[in-house]
Amino acid sequence: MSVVTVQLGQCGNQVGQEFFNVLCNDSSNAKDKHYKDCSHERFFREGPSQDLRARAVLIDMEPKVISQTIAKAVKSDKWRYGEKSHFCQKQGSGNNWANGFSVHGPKHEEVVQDLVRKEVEQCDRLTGILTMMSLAGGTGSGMGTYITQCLRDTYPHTSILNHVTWPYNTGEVIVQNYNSILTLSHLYQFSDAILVHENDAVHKICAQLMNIKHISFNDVNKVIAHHLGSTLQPVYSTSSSCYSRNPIGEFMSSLVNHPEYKLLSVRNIPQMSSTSLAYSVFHWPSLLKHLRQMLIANARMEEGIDWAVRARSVSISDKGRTTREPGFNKSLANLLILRGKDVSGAEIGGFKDPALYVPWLPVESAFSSWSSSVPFSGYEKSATLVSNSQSLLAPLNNMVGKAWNMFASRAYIHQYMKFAISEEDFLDSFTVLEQVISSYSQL
Amino acid sequence: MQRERSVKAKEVIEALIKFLSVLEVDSVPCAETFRRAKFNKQDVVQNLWDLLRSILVKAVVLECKCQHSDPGAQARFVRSALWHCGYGGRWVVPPQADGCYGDCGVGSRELLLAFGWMLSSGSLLEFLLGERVLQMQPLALPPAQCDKGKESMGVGRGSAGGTGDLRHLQWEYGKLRYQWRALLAAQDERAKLIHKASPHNSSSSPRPSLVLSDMGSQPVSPSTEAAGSGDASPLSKEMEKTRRLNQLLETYLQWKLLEPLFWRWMESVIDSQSADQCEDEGIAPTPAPQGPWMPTAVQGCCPSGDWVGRRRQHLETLQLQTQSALHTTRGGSSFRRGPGRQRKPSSTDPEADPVKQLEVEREVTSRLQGFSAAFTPTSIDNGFIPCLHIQGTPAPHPSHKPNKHGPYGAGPPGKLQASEVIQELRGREAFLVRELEEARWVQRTALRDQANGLEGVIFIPPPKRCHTPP
Repeated sequence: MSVVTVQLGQCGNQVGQEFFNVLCNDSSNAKDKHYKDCSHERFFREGPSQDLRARAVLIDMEPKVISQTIAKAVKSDKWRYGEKSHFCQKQGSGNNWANGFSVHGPKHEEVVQDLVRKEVEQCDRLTGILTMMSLAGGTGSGMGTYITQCLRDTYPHTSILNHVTWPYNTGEVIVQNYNSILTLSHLYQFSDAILVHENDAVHKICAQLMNIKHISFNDVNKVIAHHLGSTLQPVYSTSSSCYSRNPIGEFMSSLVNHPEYKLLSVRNIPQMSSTSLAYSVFHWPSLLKHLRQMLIANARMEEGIDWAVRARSVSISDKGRTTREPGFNKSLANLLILRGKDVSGAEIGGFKDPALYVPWLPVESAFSSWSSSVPFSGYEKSATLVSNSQSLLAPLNNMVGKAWNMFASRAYIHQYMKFAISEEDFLDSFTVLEQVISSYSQL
Repeated sequence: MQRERSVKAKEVIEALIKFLSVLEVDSVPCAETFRRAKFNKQDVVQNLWDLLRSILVKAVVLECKCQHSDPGAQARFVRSALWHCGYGGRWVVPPQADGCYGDCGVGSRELLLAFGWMLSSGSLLEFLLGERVLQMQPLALPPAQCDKGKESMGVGRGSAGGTGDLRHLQWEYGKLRYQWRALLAAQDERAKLIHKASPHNSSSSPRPSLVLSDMGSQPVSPSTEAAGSGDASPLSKEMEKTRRLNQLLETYLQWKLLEPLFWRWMESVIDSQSADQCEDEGIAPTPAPQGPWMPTAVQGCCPSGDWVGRRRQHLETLQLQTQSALHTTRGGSSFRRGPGRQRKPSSTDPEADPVKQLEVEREVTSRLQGFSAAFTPTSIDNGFIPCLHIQGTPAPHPSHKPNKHGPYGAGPPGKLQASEVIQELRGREAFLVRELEEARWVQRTALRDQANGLEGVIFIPPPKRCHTPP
């Protein structure tokens, strides 16, 4: 029941390191031994001197970030990466997706596959592969896409969860939209699910909830890692009385059974700086009420939610208004994960409202909830909602639009054609993503 | 040559015997018994009765198990079980009034044929194998016993949703796929853990406590662990079980490899049966000691070997004739090609117009292509469903595998060879690809024409088709 993580590129490696940090801190502080063991088996293996080694493979084309990542892990003194589980080169991909995908990927495929295989062999049971990368870079996105394809071929029966970091709307890389559409469209064909974190949304969380003045990538990554940890740490799924032995598989089968809908977003509540955490008291009804409205109104954090948005059934009862409620975010499937005190008493009926979901899927299939009484990461109570919904429709539309505008004037295309990515490949990607957009907007 | 064949046959039967004995079928006779039964020797009759009974006892679920003490009851049981399974041999058919079968009439060859029939109809051995595996490893997955009621309920619920139907089905299908993956992963894990345990166990100085802590995740009961710290007996037991299971599967595999030869041998048994019958008929034309009433299947069953042989010969001669006829026709036509085509029904002079001839040829080709396209199953619908072997039916039905026993009751073609299916699918694929190409070309031309008609519109060629995810 172990998960092998593949960290790709600068972003993937940095997020990955924070992710393992969160996991290790959380599980080693947990009082429940069973929880601790389960978490350790899931994400770590035992090193030669009984220390924890992350079940992870680090890949980048530049040595700098990798050595930083490894050093940070060593410094934590609680866990580290495997001695030989990283691979780097001297020359980066220069933010060119095509370079990563057509040059670096095929060239280093064998080495990377070898590294992954070694990690997989050390798992009693491989429940899934988690890849982490940015959507917009060169190595992470280009090579990551290529590697995902290879992994799909090598492990056809293993679930692959791709975690991608969505670039800032006003990013610093001029071709980020090109890179993003190429990555997304390819991943859509080979991955089982794509879990998205938008830099913009996470940035806002840092600014408004965590009260951080000068936000660095580190802070952003910490929030992402927190979300991922609260999703993937051990938890009881409804059907069983022990921690799931197939976490990724169950995660997938509650959210992404339909091949046209693979985009997942995460919402988490509460989130605050550690200083104010000590003085806060939480109640399940209030947390869940906020979380539900965050889902409906498509907000990423509990501040600034639009409380006017209602689920659709309300608008039907208003006569003459059968059209979609503006701003309403319809879901295909949701997974609610509750952790902490009195979790059994939490009332989750609000998420079982059929008005939240599509008519063709019964609520029992569309909604699942997992819970664990072990508090997560110092939060007495916390709720995480992973949602396969329309919430990524707007950013996706925006991104495809921008990329298309550039493509219409053939800007920078030659940079890609240099590495054997043709205009036709671009058109393919646009087609795939248009299909995704249309699927989600017709939910 | 003859000797070689008999040695082969002996090997094959031995493989079968070995497999039956690891299946824990009682009273499995030796290979010699089978050989003697082929020649209808009386001394092996009892052995074959025992064999039939012990297999049927395993395969048929009995309501009461009290009645196998005396040989008469045994025979009755075997008869009725065979009869219920659908075997229509002369000696199995229940008598009309007198209630007596006339035991003396059953020769060992008849019994051997009944045994062959049991193997050939349905999946008796596979069923027994599945049962045995479950016995040995209660944790193994039972062969495809899903909760049918639940499944149909889940599917049924979506049918109310109009267009949502298909999407709901796709969703459910995806769910099944993930469940299947989970099962695979669980099997993998099992195998890995067993592998981990075995080297420690087979070595003379095992450290069971270490092994068990390695296995940490595996639900090991405290009692096992306690016992394990003393000696390695639970592990060695497990190991022994696994070994036996392996042996079982290997013998099955061995039998499966040799099975075709067994059927060839059974053919020879049928042949000798029919040869004997011909002799009998020559001497006494109407013996019929079993009574006047006899189902048709029985009649078809007896002279079948001979019948098949004659048919085959007939077909072979026919094929030969056809081939030679074809040969002469072809040779003649090519010979005629030189001087001219008198037979061609054409008003114009055929010799003068090679262009016309080409055109006609092309037309004919396209017509033929059209025909073949029209009669490929794909073009109509996707009604082709490869018939799958249904496992786990304890009572075999008379769908004859080597199709020799009853030429009249052959029924629909039950099972397809994988190669046939592959060929069929390849054909369909080729056809679909061709059709797709055509359609694409037409679309593309139409699109280009339309785009050219509009002012200020640049035509970007349509993208390649994208691959569907695996």
